Amino acid sequence: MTTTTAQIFTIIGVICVPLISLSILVLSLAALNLSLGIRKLYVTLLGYLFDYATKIKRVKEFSIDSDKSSDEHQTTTTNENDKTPLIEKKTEEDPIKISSTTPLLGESKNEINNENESESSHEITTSTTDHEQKISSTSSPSDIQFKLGDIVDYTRQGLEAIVDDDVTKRFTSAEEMAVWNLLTRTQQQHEYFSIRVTLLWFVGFCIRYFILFPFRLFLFIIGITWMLVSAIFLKYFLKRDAKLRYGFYINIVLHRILSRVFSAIITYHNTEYRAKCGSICVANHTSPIDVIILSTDNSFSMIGQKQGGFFGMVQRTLSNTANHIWFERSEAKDRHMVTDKMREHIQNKTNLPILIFPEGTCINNTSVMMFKKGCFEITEAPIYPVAIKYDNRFGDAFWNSSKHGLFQYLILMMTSWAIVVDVYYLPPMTMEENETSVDFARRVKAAIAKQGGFVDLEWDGGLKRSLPKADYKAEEQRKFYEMLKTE
Amino acid sequence: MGQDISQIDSNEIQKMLQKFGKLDEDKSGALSAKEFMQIPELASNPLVERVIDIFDSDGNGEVDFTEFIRGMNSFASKGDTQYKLRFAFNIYDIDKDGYITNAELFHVLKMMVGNNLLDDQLQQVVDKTIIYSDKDGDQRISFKEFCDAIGPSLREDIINHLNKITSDDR
Repeated sequence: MTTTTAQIFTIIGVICVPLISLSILVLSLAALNLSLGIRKLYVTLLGYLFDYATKIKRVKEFSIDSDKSSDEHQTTTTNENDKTPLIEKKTEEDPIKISSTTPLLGESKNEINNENESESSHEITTSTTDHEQKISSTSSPSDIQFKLGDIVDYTRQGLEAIVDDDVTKRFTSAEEMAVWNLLTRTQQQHEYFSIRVTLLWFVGFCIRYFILFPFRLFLFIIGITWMLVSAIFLKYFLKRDAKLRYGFYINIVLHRILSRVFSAIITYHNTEYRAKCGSICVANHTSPIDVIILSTDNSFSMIGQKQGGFFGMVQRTLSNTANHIWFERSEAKDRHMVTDKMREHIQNKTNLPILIFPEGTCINNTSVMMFKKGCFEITEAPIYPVAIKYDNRFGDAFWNSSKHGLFQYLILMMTSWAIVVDVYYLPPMTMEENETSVDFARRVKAAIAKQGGFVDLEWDGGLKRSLPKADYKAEEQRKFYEMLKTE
Repeated sequence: MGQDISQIDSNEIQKMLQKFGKLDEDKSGALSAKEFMQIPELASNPLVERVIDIFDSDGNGEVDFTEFIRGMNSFASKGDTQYKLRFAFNIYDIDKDGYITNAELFHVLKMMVGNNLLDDQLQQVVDKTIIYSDKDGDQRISFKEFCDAIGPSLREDIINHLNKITSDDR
């Protein structure tokens, strides 16, 4: 009996010792903000691996050079065996130093045509269509000119919308990657096209689920523990000013730890435009991880609804490290109260910048949707826009809340290869003379869209969950009427 | 209608299938009007009911995939121009009897302008259009009269416009 327990203990010891020593290494690097340069290697190797897998796929389709591929396969397997210890150490790297080539979308279409400023403050547009086919007939001149062919425009728009509309595709993960990244979740169809690639996928699966995931989970637990411990520490042991100062650094360290949980490789651009105290920072929203990523470089005051459960505890704990604005759901409907609280917060110059996501919901990182004008009404503070662009090849960060719950999403994130992200700080913007808050919101959105290479849409992100309002149709009817009159 | 569905290539059918699957939330195998309305650009289109109705050739209130493909087939760039003009005609011809009556034209125009015109003003427009296009004096517009009324240059326009749908968004 004792021998078996001894054996069990030795096994646990064997597993735990490297785990703990690695964790200590990772955490100290996190605290000191250093890097070992290994993550770049990891990501580059993965890039080659993905290209290789796609090449095999194409080779299989054309069935040439099968001997050459098998040679490459030999070298790749040996690479992978060497890679395993590298992968275990990869999390030591500081996420800040690496640059990854993110494929940006080339165009940013501007789809704004018409604006309707009603009290409910939603915006309506149509795509800029060609209303050109106004061929005048020889009928007697009158107020209204209508021809049978006038409906063609709307018919065409309707059919185009059915085939491919701009809105519904923003609420699901972006599709069609040129290179398969060995995650079945991104493979559109499960094709069995080569034993080599399937083998690679299987090895990748094992690495991700049995090596990376437990390690990351362990880090996550440490991160949460750090947060709780530091919160208690700050609450009971320090005076007010010191509390805020220490709170700033504790916050950053916490988020650095958390970013390693997801193996986040973050590149910051234009750090001279980092948001300062007493200002508002706006960014496009793709996932709950956005907050963690932005917080590794700067500390923010967050603003959001008070939640229950695990998240609520997180909120309360975070409130000890800085001044966050949490409001009750009933208050949330009262926009003025929230805006007033924000104003109060900004006026105190020692307060951290407020981080807010004006889209209101997660969009899949191919476009930016309508910015709600609430926070743009505060004229006292400059707005620091930030564009967050994810590289989908190593892990899709978009949270499709109708498809996955929060915990399921976190597990998906922890079993991806890595989260590679570019954060672009943009120069601060303030509202100009004679500019409404709606125009200002639109201007900021356009700047973010341009920097990140996103499609700039005016549609409301709320359409993810609710059906469009009848007002849109009424607007179209009015436009048609105007068109008839002007013939 | 006896269309040859092979006018769309398999690539396009694949894309249609994906789109169809995405719209069909309850996985019933057919799209109801409510499921169509999830597309905001379609929901704001005043003619949305007509478009859905044309797709629904068996009139059961829902569009199954065969009807969907057949409807889309009218716009395949290689498709016959007759089918495109027919689609435009069918926007007006609500009961699908092959004639656009005064009441049908009124109904469709009402959809288009909403409350921006009074009913009797709208009726005047309708009457005028019928008089202008009706050649055989039966107070309604047949398909042939429709094509003639459209005029050859506008016919080209329609065909070109409806051509663009399947070729534009790739």
